[in-house]
Amino acid sequence: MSVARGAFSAHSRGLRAGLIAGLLSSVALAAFGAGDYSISGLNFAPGSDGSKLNFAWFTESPAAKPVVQIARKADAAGDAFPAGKAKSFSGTSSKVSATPFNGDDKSVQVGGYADKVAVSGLRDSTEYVYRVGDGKSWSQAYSFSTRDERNFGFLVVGDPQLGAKATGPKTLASDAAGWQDTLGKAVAEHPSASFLVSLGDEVNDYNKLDSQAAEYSAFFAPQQLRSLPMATVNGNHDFQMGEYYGFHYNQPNLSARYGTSYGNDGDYWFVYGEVLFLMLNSNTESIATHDLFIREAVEKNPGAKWRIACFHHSVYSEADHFADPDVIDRRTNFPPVFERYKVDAVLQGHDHSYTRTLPMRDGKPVAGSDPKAQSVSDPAGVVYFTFNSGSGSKFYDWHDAAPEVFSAARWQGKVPSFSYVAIDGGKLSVTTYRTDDMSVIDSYSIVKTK
Amino acid sequence: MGWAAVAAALALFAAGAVRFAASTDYCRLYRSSGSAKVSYERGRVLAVEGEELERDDGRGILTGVQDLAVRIDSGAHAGTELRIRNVLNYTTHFLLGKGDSVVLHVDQADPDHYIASVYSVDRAPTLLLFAALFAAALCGIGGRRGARSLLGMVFTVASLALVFVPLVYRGCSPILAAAAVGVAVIAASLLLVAGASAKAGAAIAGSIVGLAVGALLALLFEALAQVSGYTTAEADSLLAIAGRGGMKAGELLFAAFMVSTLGAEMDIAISISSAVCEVRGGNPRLGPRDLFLAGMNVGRDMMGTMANTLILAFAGTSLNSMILIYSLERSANQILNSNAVAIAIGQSLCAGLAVAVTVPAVAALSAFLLSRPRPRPAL
Repeated sequence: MSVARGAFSAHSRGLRAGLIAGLLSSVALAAFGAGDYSISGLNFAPGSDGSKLNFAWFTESPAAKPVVQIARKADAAGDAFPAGKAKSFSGTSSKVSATPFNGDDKSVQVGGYADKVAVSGLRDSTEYVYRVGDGKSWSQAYSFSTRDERNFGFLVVGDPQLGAKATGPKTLASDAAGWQDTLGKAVAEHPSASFLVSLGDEVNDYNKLDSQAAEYSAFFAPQQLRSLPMATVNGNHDFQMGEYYGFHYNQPNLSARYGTSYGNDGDYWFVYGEVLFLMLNSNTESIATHDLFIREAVEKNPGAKWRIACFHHSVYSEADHFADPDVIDRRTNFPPVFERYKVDAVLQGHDHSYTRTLPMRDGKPVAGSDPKAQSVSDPAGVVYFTFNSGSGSKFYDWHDAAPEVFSAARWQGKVPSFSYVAIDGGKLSVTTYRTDDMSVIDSYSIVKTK
Repeated sequence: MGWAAVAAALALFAAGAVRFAASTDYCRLYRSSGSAKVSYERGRVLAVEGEELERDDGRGILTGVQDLAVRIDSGAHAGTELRIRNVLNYTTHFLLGKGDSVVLHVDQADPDHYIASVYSVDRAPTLLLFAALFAAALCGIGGRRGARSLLGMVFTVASLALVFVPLVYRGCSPILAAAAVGVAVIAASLLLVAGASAKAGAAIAGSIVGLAVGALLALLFEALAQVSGYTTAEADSLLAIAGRGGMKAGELLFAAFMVSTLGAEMDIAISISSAVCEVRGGNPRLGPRDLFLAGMNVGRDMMGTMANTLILAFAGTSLNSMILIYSLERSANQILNSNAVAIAIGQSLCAGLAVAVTVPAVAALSAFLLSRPRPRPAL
């Protein structure tokens, strides 16, 4: 009991530090040109390649032409947005709707509009300022930096699932505080991360649209998300409101054919540096559609040295969802696809616990794999990572007390955690941190010599 | 005589239940786009064209790959012959040979592209064979009464799968549904076995007393131990489903407690009332007190083995967990307080208690009903 209490107070201390960090960064950004254009949920995703970024936000009234204005920070004089030197990009605005799972599969109007704008022509390692609007009114200005694509890293979190309310005080506010804390610490630890990957179940509510809307607000609240691109995948919780998920994000190369159930939630891909990211919507039952999607994406990007697949429903994880019939189906049918297209690493969520597998081939660890090894060279199989909750809103216990056959490392500390994936030429390394004391839970690299 | 009518009534009930179960608003948790569709089709292994297998010495199972020539025998691709790589690992390990029937997972992405893989060996023939053996044994050894208990089983399965489950899914209180279906199953099974007799009446009333006591105990246990449908491993999916049809997921565990004790209650109830009936047949002048004591004597003998039966049944289903718990030397505090173990133990103990209480209830009821001067004539 005393151990538990100690851990909790360490957690809340960390929480406070994270909140302060978040507050400071928002103060710093708010100084940059206050705006009068009312928006919510502003976030941006990596674009099709490193020179592009995709912006998305909600507005109350329709904009004839949503616009992102962007300028180099070096061109800004003082605190004013350098409108004269900014480039404008325009996009589309559409009415937001949802198909709630408990609503007889009928699409309903939610109110409000989803604005999406793609920005291109960005340079490496450059600081930018931007604002969004309808061409007349503007939001406040924010800033971000592009990074060096030759040697980069990105942050990863598993299910933030804001609103799960399964830990601590069991309120959305406490889930949101955990999320803010994790982002604050992750960005402080790796300030030059190129983007963030969130592996599905960003929000929780299955039943009530307004509850889920409040959870989205909490999810987008951290100011870090105005400066850090984010690539999400669709989790089973997000999926319960149908097309509502897709309105929140602006994802590059979004497939209208593969992995989609509602038209705006399909598989998508992007390239950053020498890495092809395959972002899959695992809510669809047909894995053959993902096979076709990956085939197409791989054919279009023959130069990518690394292939990383990201999706929600972990196939090799060890907690509550280990024996779900739908997960067993995916465990049988997804891996052959990754082996066929020589995917190097698979990043997953869903099971609210951390697991790293041995290199896997034909459903079993590659012969001779050392479970204690901290790195592997040119593995003859695929390494699967399952990430624990990024907010700490819910944790799952192990399905079996003993580790599974595929497992090389596992952790369930019931503390929020995040990971940093660094790609430095022929080396991909994944380091996972617990946010209470920022100690490293697991660190592992895959080396490519060929 | 009336058995044709009984069988007809049963058939009518089953048909109605099938209709009831089918007219539902199914959850489609996972949907696919456009023409994408997953189906499970029958197939046959035409040849094993190559294989690389090794025995995993540590674990004793075969792992590796088999390259098979397979013909799809049902569905849109019936008649198509194709090569399939059958993977043997810790998730799937079916060692296949030429001529084997298999079930294929056919994943159709679009009209031109599909992936077929081995889902399983075709288990339907084995299941049917064992069902036929079981039915033959019941009728062969049990004669007419065996045939009647077979009808009882059909009623039980139909009630649970086609009435109870759909009722609960549609938001009917699982406790009420379990109580209603429980009473119906008790009445139908015991009437089919013992006919419309005082013997059956005593057993039915006694079983219902046991069911009620079991329900009260389960409520008490759930409240004290703080377990519910929300603390089971399937909670997440159940909540998703609950969001749609209003299913009361929290009460499910309680209903499961009630359903799992039904069999034991009927078992001990009919044994006691049957014994009391025999005793009375041998000596019609015995009074209620003697009959009650005779029933209690039989019941006391049975109680021990019956409680054991229940605990063994639960142990059998949780054998894997027991081995894991043992091998990892977990502390008693952890084991007893985990959701799964607390629920399993609670379920066994509530069932055992319910069975124990059924004994005096049935003994008293049979003594009262059977010692009356004119027992109702059996049909």
